[in-house]
Amino acid sequence: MMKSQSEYKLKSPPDDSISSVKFGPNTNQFLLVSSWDSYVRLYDVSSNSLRHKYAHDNAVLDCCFTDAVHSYSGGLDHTLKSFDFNTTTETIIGTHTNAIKCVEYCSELNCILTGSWDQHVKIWDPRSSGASGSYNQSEKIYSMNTCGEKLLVATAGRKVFVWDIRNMAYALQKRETSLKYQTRAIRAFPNKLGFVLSSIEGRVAVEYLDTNPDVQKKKYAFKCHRLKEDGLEKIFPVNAISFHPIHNTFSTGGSDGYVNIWDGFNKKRLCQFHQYHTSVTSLSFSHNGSVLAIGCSYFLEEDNPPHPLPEDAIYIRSVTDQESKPKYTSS
Amino acid sequence: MDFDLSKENIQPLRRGRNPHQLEMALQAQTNPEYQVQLQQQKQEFEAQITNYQGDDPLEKYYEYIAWIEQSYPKNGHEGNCAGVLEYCLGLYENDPRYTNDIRFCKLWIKYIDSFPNPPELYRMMKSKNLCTGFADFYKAWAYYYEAAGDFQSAHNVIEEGKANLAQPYNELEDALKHIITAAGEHSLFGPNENRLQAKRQALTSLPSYKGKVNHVRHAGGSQMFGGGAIGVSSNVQLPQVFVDDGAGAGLSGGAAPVSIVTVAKRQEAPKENTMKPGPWTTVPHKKRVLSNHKLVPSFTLHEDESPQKCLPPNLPPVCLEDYANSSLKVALTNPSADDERPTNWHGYPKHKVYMDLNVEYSIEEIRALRYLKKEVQEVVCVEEEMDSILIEDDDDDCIVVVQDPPQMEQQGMFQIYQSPMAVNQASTIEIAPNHAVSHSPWKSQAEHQDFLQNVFSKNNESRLSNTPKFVIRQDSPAAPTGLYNLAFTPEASPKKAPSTPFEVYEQSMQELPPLAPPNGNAMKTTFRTLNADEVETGSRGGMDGAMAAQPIDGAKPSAVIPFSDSSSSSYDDPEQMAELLDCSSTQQFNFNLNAMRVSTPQDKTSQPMHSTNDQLESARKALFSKELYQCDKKALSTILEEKSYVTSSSSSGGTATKLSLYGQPTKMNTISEEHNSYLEQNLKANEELRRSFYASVMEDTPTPPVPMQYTPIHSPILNATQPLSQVPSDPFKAKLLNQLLDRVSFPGVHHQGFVHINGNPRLMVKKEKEPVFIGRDKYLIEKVLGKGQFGTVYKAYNYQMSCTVALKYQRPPNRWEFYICSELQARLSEHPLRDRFMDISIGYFSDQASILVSKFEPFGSLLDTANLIKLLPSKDRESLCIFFTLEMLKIVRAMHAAKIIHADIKPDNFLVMLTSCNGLALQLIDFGCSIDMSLFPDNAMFTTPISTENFICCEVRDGQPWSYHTDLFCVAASAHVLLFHEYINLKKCGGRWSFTSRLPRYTNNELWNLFFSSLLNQQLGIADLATLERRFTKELEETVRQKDLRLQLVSLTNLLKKR
Repeated sequence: MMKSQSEYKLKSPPDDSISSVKFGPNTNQFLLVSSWDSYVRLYDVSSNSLRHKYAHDNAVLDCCFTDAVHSYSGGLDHTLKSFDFNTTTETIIGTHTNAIKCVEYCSELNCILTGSWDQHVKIWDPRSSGASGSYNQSEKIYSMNTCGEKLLVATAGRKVFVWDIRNMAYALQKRETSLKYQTRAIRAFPNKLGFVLSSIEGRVAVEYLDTNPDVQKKKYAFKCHRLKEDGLEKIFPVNAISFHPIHNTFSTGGSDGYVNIWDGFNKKRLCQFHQYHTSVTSLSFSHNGSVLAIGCSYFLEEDNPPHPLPEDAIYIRSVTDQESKPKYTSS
Repeated sequence: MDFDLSKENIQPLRRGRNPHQLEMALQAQTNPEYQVQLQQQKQEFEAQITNYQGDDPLEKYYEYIAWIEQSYPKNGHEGNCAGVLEYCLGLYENDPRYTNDIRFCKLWIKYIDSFPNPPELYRMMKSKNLCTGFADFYKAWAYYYEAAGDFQSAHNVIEEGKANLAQPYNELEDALKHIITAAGEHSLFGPNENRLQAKRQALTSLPSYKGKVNHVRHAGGSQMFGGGAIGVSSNVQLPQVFVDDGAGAGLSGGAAPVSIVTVAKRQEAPKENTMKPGPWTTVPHKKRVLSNHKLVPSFTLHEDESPQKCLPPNLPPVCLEDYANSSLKVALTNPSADDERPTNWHGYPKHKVYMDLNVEYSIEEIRALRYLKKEVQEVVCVEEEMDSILIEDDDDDCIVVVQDPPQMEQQGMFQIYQSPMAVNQASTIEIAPNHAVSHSPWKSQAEHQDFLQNVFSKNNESRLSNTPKFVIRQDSPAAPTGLYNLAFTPEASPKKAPSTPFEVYEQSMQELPPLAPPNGNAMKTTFRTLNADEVETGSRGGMDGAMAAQPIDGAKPSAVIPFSDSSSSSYDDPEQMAELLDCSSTQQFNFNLNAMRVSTPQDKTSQPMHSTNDQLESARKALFSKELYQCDKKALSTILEEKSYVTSSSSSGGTATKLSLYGQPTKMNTISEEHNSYLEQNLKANEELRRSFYASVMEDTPTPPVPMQYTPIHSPILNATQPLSQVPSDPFKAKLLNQLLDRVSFPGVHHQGFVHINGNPRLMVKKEKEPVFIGRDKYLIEKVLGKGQFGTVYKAYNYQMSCTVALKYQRPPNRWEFYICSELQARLSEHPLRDRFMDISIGYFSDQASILVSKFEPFGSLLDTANLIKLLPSKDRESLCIFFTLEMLKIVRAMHAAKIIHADIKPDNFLVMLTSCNGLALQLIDFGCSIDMSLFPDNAMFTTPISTENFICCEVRDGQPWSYHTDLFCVAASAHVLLFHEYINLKKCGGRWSFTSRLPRYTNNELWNLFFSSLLNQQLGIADLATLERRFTKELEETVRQKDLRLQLVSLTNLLKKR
């Protein structure tokens, strides 16, 4: 398949694997990218230029916007940093005792949530110093997402916790994922009805938050990001999920280099993009869903990695309604 | 009558209205005739005023104003009441005739009422002494304060009036009372608008004084006023009271105002031009109005989010969630058993992600490891440069199986170790102990798992128990230097002792350069830690040198004769060790010990010549010899035992263990805090054992706390099954187990398959099919089958026997399991179920680890099978459950008959195996914490709680002592897992335990209820297994069942074989 005209590569990409790409809250213009080269970069997507970058002491694993000009990021240096792109000042907000894997912003409560391999979630209020709370999750946190005032936490041991951010004393729900293997990513439906999980072995599950058994019955999982090559089934991790903010459809990106868009409620695949040159590590739809950022980096962690390593690249692709809108309206 | 039409336009008057006048006034509004009449009257009044010649002109004015009030009920402009009033007051303001006239006063009151700031004007009147003799004046003044809620000022005004003796005085007194009541009411009910309204009207209306000066009735104070005044006029508004407590003088700047009227008018003056305070920019601008287009900035303005959305203030700072009961598996299917189809290829490093059954790592973590490693390596490099000793990290593929098989040629050794060059370097480090920090080549060769654990600091314990410590620190010069001096240049020791270590090194190199490498390397490999901080430097005079010299002295010739299989020489080792213990730290001791273990000195000439300990020595020697001659093997193992104790105690990096065995038994172990309980226990056990060793010679040795007499020497006859006289509470204690093993003089009769090896074979799954030596035997490690708390199970291929085996690697060595397994096989030698217990064909034991070799069962554990059964239709499961439960019952019954308690029965510890006739059967494995009841008195009971989650028997829950109960309970719990696919949940009602799950309706509830209730409730005695077994057998013999079971077994077998 030919690369379509609606797609282009960002100039001056990171020097190491891309850990996270995130679009700004209200515009298609700005993209925040965290990388293993220990930098967080702000790209102006419309002019295809690098606007800013700032450094951590070690690889950055996640970042997020809180508003158009403020970002938060954390990584292997255990430190949560914030950066103001207007004044280009960075602030160390606080630390975990192990690497910070996830940084999320809850706009409903105006707080930042970090999840770490030290098994804790911390809440940070941008207006006050220090963490507002630290909450044990009993396992290393692998992925997090906010869902309104709820927080979804996917940890090692295939656990999923649903918390109310306003009262983190007790979890609303403690679940075991319906997937057999390690969770790679968790993202909530924009309509807050449920969430999507992806696993390290080519599977994606759609689950519902409502614990009513009738609703729970509707949850399901499906195989994806697998390649059949002369009798060999290659199973790849599904690294990234990003929801279309309007249509409630979602895109998944795997280490096979493919990006699919799915209609979770109707169990349909809407489209598959061409294969990218290496693993897709992160995806992000823009605020109106018209643009998808695709972070591509070698991420197989093989014992004998290819030499030279595939280049790290961020693709910006405009997504049409045809590609992202459910074909059938659910009855 | 159109009175109704216009009544809202009639201002009520305090004294009422003259109906005639009112009618005329109302008529006048519509009827021009009346209007003319009014006009005529008005002119009449005005004419009267103009033509008045008497001495009371105010009279006419007063009448006129009163008339206007009546005739123009709207109180509007048409009557020009205010204008007349103002004119009149201005006219007579300074007329001394009227300074104290009640009419004048009334007019003032009426006039002032129309101004926004009456108290000011009153104050002015007061200062001009105008009308100050009237109670009305004060009452009116006070009223405005009262209306503003300022009762204090109102009270003050009235008090002032009283002080001025205003008339009528009693009215003032009444007014005072009213104010007080009003203040009370105000504070209770809030302002009373109606009362204030009434009062105001009373004050401002003009009574008619026909010639005489009198007063009209006043307002009814706090009483409601309805009566004459019809309704409430909305015309009158509450005045805006400006409260200015300052003196009234500051009213107008410059000259003091003369006329009150002018002041009042001045107040009024800006009225027409009133501008409300506010931003002047909002005043419409003509230009702005004209320009119609909206300004849009070319850039987007960033607006701060409104901060109304925020975290609740009472955010709990920590999470109170209790995860104690959450036990989730890392992966649903056992990664080693399932999903390993050769046709599958995984796009991620699965062997790293699922390295362990209970721990998983994400790709990011594995990658992070690389990043963090990079950092560490950088740091290491810097350090190394500083110390000017650079050692290549060249042994990534270093095989760490260190051993001294008697037949192994030196050549073989060289294959296993690295190049001689590296070896040389290694020995360099050893011989140069004064370098502050030196890195052994193992520094960065951290085993992957170790590294992971370090990096993620998952658990410090395992880090400690996994002994590899790579940094050699030797910065206490005195003792070690002496040691080395003696070691390599014995003849020159007195002179060389104070020399620098470097010289020593050179010298030693001169003396034995070609021979050193293999020897040094061997030493290197086996010892782990030399921690200078803990090196004992206290010298003991000449003794130190002499004794320290021996082992290394022995090591020197050993380079020539490297290996020896003579048991007599190995017997020498512990003796020397013990001496070393006496004089040096454990670290040094360990060092030397390891040196010796490889080199195994032959020369008995190096027998110690000691001064003080001769006696003890000989006594001990006798002791050892005796043992030795009793049974060669046994003695060997005992000695080994001793070795292993010492190493295990010293291999724990952080310990400062000062062992002084002969002289000061009280100066025993100091255990650093960071120690995990296991090591501590181990240490104590060692101490205990050592003490008991010398109990015969040491009178003051404290008796071991174990309630039994320990006899260090047993006859082989004795140790078979003589039970202890007392039952310990905890049958799992390492100390106890060691004692018991000694008691049965392990391995003794169990020598079959017991192989002693040296060093710590490191088993690793390697990509390139490279065999690993364990002892003399060659294995190919294929993969990790499972990892538990105490060890790892590998699947391996045995080249000698050409079969696939399971290797259970445990560290520290677990001799107990070997003992139990061989005991079981022996005790059940005639039993048909003998093959249902794990048979250890070979057990390799070193001082650091043990490897048990048993048959490999490809079908995995019962837990895997349970997960498979889960996939079957629910109705088909029961037969299989009954079948497997029966299997378990049979096995446990046989085991109990052999007086063994497994104590860790769970589905994971049953292997599913294929019988000879292609049927399925279970095999019980993992006897690591089993109990041999034959070593305890009959009916022994234990009290220590079992901690295996979900498998804690009801007796333990009740706090009762237990013995065989636990196994039976665990069988029930395992059956529960099979049946319900979840761990058992217990409830207790009415003193009986039961499980919370619900049996499906199609199952044989009677059978299962009997099974569970009897196994969960054994308070009165151990459940009758035989009966249960019969019931289950009977159930299975039913034709329906039989058929069903056969079908299910076939399908399960197929599933297991992955067909």
